[in-house]
Amino acid sequence: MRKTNRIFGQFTGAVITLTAVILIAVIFLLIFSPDKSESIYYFFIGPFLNSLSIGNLLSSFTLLTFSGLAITVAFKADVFNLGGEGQIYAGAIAATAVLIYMPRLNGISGFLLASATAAAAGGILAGISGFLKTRWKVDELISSFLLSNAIIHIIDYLITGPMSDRNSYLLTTKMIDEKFYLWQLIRPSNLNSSIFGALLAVVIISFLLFYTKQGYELRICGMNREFAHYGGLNTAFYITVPMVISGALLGLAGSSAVLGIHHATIKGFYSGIGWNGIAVALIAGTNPIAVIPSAFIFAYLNQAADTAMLKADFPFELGGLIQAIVFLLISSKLISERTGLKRGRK
Amino acid sequence: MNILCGIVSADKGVFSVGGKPVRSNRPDKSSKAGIGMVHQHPKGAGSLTVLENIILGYEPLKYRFFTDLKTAEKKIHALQEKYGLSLNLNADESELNSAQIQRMELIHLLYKDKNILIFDEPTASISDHQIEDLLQIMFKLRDEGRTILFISHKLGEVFRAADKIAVMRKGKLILCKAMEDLTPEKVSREMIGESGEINYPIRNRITSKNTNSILYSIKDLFYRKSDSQNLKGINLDILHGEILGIAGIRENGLELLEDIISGMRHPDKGNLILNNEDVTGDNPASLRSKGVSYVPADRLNRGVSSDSTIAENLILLNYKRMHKLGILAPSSINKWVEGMQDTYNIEGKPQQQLKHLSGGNIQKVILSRELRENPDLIIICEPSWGLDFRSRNNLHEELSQTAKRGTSVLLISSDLDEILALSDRIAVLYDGKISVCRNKTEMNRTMIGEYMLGVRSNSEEN
Repeated sequence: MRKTNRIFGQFTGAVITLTAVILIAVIFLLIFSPDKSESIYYFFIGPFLNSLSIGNLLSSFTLLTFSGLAITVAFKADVFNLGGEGQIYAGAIAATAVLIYMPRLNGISGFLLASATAAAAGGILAGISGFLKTRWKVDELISSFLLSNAIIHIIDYLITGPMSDRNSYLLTTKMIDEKFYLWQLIRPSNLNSSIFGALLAVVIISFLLFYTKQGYELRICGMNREFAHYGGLNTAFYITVPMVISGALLGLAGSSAVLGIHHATIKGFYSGIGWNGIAVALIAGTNPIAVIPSAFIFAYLNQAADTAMLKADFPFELGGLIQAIVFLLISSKLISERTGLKRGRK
Repeated sequence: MNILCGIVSADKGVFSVGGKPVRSNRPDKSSKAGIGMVHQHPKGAGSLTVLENIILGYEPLKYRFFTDLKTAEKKIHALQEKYGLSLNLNADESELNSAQIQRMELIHLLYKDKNILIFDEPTASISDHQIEDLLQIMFKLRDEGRTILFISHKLGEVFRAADKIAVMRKGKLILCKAMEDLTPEKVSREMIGESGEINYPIRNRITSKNTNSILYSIKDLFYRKSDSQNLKGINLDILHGEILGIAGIRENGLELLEDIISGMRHPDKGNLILNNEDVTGDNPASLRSKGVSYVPADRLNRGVSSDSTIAENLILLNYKRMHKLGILAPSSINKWVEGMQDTYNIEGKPQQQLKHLSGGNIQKVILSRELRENPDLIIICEPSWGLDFRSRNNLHEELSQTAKRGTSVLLISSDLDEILALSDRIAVLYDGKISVCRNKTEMNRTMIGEYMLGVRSNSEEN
């Protein structure tokens, strides 16, 4: 009896939050939409009606899985990575640069090199925050956010300046060669083979965290750093490393968007992926496996708002509003948990 | 005290000032009733000047909006002159030492014209000379008709200052009498409780060639965390196979001593020597590899990770030997953990969160993990905190068994019964120094209590 309660209890918070989100979305629909029944129909069923929206749902699920997983790794070690957007962007521009300036690579080696560079770019960017924390006790929450904001502007400059595509109507870099494109799984949607990469990443990270020596050390450091120090673990190492892994995963999110969806780095494409990753991680509650359902629900909410907007007379702003509500509710959950934790410690 | 000041509200009961009950659940209500407190660790706003700190919240206003610093300064100068409280009003609060901050707080209370002044351990953090000044000021305030609650564990000062003495122990008021009717010895007995002496059995120590040779020694150790937590030259030797008990008041250095001996903190000055090797800069892990295990007093934060599973807590010192190519197989971990649980009678399933265990079982988790390393010395601090009677007895049994096997035990505890029940030798920490260190046979409860509270001191010892 107690056991079931504990398992259920772990997800009660998430279930309540999501129920509240859906209820609020429905209330908004009922108030603002001219054709209420149609909007609600499209909001709930819309994402599954045709292959295009299913594909787009899964594509955004892919990106959210990467970013949600990245934030989860950081949470697991009790560090915060708020620099998601900058790290995605850095990964994307790094992958693009590799493929544009080295066009003679073949498809496989190009993919590998671009992914590795993207992971390195994101990893280094986040790693700096980890290093600053261990060296000078700079709060990684703030430094990752500020670094990310700074790097975004530098990348914007690269896109609009040295790397820009003069022939495009968009603010974007040149396109990468077609041989580097990931396979499109459901045309014409954005869904591509990187979804397997995201799922594989979840499996690998879960294995690393729960079945290896380093994973054990990371989790102990995340649970109780003083205890870890007492037990002789290298606590400083497990501030930097989780940040690097987290940044690397976000970098991969960026490269997967470039290779699979946009085939170039478009200015501002990262918008929402980084922050929503935090929300995904919060719903998943530091459990890497739970990132999968959590990212799916999030992607579904996004897609639902999109479809309802297109099909029914669902105001455009409402989609953004619903996302904002999700974020608000989930971060309030975080705040209560964090402060609750502190109170418990005293 | 926090209840009187309204920082914490009482579960039950009321207190009254001048016959009027005060329903205080907020600091400002207590403040209106005329109660003010000088804190043990005063908190000011560091970047404001002394003057600004003093008038904080009670600024005289000019044109209903602007702070009138001049009027305030004049008023404070008058107060300073009256009570002889010299203090530079224009200095930043952060530049002051603790005696000056204390003075600042006192002026703040006088400025607000409080009639009941609470001094919480005011002498813990200031020098003897400053204590004398403070007492003079307190006498002056008393003669003016103000009430002063002077909280201290240093009996000498209490007897100098007080008209009436009350003793609190374990949340109860034990005694409240006029000073003339009491003696320091009597008060110290009341504070420790149980004036009857229990005769604790003397342990038969096994003798080996190592007996009475030094295992771990602390030489001339200095560490200053704050004025009240200050170690001033500790010298102590731990012998092979003995149980050495260190008694003292936890907040006044005992906790600090624990941190330093166990390697969590490093001393400002002085050395730690283990088997003729200098281990002053070692962390707990490297000390452990040299045969020193440590069971912390703060078990829930330092001794275990309470949100992790029992298995994760037990394998902390062993996982490095358990992995194959970096992979930790849950099945082999569980088998090992279950083996540990059988040997030491620890309840629960390996994958259960540790926080669901009882205090006794959590203690067993830590102790078994540390003992399994077969240490030469185990440092164990406040081991029976939060344990029920039975677990406490089991634990004491386990510790004497450990000592019988030849492991030295350093028992750091503020619980005198525990110290007396287990130790072969007893040292007492008072005022940052070891005030006495003797065989148990030469000590009794009252004596330890008197050393702990500074009623008795022994300069020829140590």
